[in-house]
Amino acid sequence: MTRREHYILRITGAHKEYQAAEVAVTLLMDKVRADPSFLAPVDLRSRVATQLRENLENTYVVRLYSEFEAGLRDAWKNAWGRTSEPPTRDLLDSAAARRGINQDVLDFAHRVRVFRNELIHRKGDEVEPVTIGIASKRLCEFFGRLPKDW
Amino acid sequence: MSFCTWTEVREGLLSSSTVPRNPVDNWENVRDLWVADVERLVSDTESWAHHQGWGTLRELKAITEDRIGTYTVPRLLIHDLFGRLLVDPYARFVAGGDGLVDLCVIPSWDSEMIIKEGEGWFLLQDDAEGPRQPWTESIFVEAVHRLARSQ
Repeated sequence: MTRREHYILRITGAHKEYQAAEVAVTLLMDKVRADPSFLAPVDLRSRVATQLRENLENTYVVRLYSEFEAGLRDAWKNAWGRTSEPPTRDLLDSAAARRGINQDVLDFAHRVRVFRNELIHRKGDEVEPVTIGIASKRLCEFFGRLPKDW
Repeated sequence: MSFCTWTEVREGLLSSSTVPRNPVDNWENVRDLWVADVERLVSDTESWAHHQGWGTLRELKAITEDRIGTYTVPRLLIHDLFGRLLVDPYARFVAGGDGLVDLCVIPSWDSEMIIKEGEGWFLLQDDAEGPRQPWTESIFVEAVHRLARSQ
């Protein structure tokens, strides 16, 4: 397996884990609805299950983006032999310019980056939300144009 | 039975084109110039392939970009005993250039990039920081052999 394939599988893997987690949360919600004290044996209230459902997709967007960024930093260092550690915004722009990446794909990668930053840092900025399905597709498209192996 | 001309097919496909989500100024003109540039590149490459005795096949590719909407351009399949390659238009708006067409070898899809800068087309073997060569017949033939050997 090439390094590029490895990271694309990590990104799509995060998306698949989200899909499995969504099924698991649906089953959990059914249990909690039937028995509101279902989570009591692990010292949790049923409200936690609701919060889990509400935050699940965003949690996995953060996870998915971290896989993408890890791959990009690996390429930066080992495919392009760079020793610097640029901020993520510059890393995306530089990788895109090296590989002639479609501006729409680059714009979307920045949208995921900004959304992820808001989820992590909670600065209260108004950002456009991103769904995990489109994030996975677009970030794989970006990564698919990186060198095949390094 | 009637047959459509190349232009009629393209115009038919363009009639279903969408308005761009994020149009640049004068987007229709920008789109038309880009389509004309790609058509010239494909025509030149096609005639260079014929000089070598290689077979070619054209087909239309629809591309959608936020800044210039949906449009169609030709892509070119080149084949001979060495295998098959595809001259595959990618996008007008790309980071680091004024348009990009991929030169891919089939089935590995290993590729080199033909990037437009200003009025010229250049071949990039690796990435934008690597060597770039003006897109000429001899550079094209070298690239085809190099990609075929990489299979």
